[in-house]
Amino acid sequence: MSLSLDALNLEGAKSEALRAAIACIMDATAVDGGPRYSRRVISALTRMIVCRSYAKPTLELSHLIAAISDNKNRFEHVLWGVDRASPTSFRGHIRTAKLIETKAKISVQGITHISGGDEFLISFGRMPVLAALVEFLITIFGYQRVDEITATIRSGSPSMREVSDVANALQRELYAYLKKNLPPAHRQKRERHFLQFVDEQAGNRTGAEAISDDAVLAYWRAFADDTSHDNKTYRSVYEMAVRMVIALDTASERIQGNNAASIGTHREAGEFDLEDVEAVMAAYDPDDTALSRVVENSVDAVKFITATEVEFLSTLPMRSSIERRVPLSIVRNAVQGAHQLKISAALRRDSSVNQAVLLVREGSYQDCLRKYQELSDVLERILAAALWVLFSARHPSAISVALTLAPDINWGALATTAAAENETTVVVSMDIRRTMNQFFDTVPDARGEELQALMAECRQAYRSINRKGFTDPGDPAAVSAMSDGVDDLTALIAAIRRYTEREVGNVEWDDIEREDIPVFRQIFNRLYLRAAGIAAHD
Amino acid sequence: MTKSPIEMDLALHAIDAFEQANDLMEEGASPSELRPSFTTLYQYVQGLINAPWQDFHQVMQQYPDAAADFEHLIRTQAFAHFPELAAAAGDSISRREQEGYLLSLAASIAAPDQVYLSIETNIDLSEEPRHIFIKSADMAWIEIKIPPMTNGRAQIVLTNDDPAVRAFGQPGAVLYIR
Repeated sequence: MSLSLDALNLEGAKSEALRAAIACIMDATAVDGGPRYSRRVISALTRMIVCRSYAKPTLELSHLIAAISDNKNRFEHVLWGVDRASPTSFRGHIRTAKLIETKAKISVQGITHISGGDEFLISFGRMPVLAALVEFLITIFGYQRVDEITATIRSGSPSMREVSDVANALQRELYAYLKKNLPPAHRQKRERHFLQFVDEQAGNRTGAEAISDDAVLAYWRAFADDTSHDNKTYRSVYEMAVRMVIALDTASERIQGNNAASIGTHREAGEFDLEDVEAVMAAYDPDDTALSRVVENSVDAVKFITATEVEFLSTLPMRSSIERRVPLSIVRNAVQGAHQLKISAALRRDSSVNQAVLLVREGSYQDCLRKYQELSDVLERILAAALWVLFSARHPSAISVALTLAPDINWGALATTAAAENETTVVVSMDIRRTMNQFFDTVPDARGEELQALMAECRQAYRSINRKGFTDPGDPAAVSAMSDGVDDLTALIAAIRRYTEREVGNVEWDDIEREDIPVFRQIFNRLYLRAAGIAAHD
Repeated sequence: MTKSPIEMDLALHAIDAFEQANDLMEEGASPSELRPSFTTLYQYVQGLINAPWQDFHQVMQQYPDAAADFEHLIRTQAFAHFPELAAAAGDSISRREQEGYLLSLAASIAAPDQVYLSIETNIDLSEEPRHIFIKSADMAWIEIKIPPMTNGRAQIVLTNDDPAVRAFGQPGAVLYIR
């Protein structure tokens, strides 16, 4: 189907207001000048808009507004009392905010809105995106209009029904706004072309199974210089393949997990439950990986990771389905993909470059793997240092970090004292409080028991690290940020190790590199030297 | 050709939507061309940041939506709100009193081209007021910074031709202290 010029102009105008509203949210800055909302939050908000999956978020937001509104019927001091909209900041701020006890209860997970005998929990993790949503609603409807719609739930003790009515009113207005301002999505020809190519080559394999290292390389070789699709760089083809693998795998899970389609959807005709579409989009959101979460946690009080480390690790997809299906392409992208960018930059500077520029240094694949492993070691030291901070603060999350770092330690030793007091007990009793106290009373000693040695190692790691948050073990902001961030840091380390040790631990990288070099040289020749009129041979 | 058309369709559907979302997030306009975000307005009204604009009045004129949000925000957050004076005794007002605050203009004896704007309050201040915002009769927004108050009193020297002086005297002007 082709669109007329008028229709295209209309589409452009349609999206302009919406684009400006989203840009305005992206432009919202914290007092220190950094972004108030992370890229992950903006992505989640935009996904919600594009998929029109705002029913649940508007309900959560309405409950949140009802729960935090004060005696003056205002809620802004809580949502904007936080400078950077992160779960950690909301947790810290809300714990100190004066909330009306009869309608709001604070727990470890978040705020519970209480009404009558009913309760509704809004987690701290959801608050950044809900804050972005309310700012978006204010931007498109106007602050006064949002105030009018939410008036009934900001005063007194609103009933669940009143909260739900406000959520419905917000949804109705949002629906009308998006009907006017959200243009229809365009069909992505490139992805369809790639899938068709892969499908034709795949034999019996289907869906994501058909996407392999060979298929990615073969597609790039075949279409790198096809100007109708943007396939010039290996990286662009690799990234498309990654997205397709995740999209196809998640789509398959969603379809299989929900065989009975929602009422009103007609799948054969290409109609899908918008929640399914959003779930697939969310699965391959590059702003929602273990790495991006660690980066987000590094903004406030603690620097878990540096920009250089992030740049290199961002070549790892951090998703097991990708690592399993296209394990070699990951390193090809990290090495050859990065090298291709250098070639084009070199050619821009000097058109007389020769063939030598086309080749990566020998052993680059192996080096890449080594660097991933080194970075996981660095991050593990950071985790150990974080454990020392949490341990020093006697924070309960220290125990789970210790279990992660040293799963083989004889933890039963902590229960010995308790068991000895009651020798008739057959099952060793691990009285939680006593065990915790024993854990926190451990005296670090490199030559002592396993746990003492672990803590001595963590203290040593702490002393060797010179990053924000690792200089004062008593800083409560650092302790809170570490307790929030250690799970994501652990997940990041696990993701790197899963790839380097499990997925490609036995790959003979030098052999792969030897086979790859002529292939990449041939295509780089074609794309750069021949195209620039420089003599080249394959 | 396709062996699992429904999964394939859902995946492609999501890819199309993803591209649409990316397109919406694409940064077209530079920050200086964007309307001020609600966050910026809130931080400004709360005194958390200094005016992030060179010309507050011009920004408010350029973005009427932001100006409306600002007005509603200042109305809900103000320490004192001085509404329009419908039945003003004279053409020019030199004294306004509201919600425990007294604002008055007095000519300087030493410098005839200057006036003093005094702010007095008998309220026990837990949070010091930092700004007077004036919406003039012709809808122009003017900001006056309040210096630290001593014994509930502060004074600002303005020139006679300052737009704030003119707006203060207009019965149709609305003032907010925050």
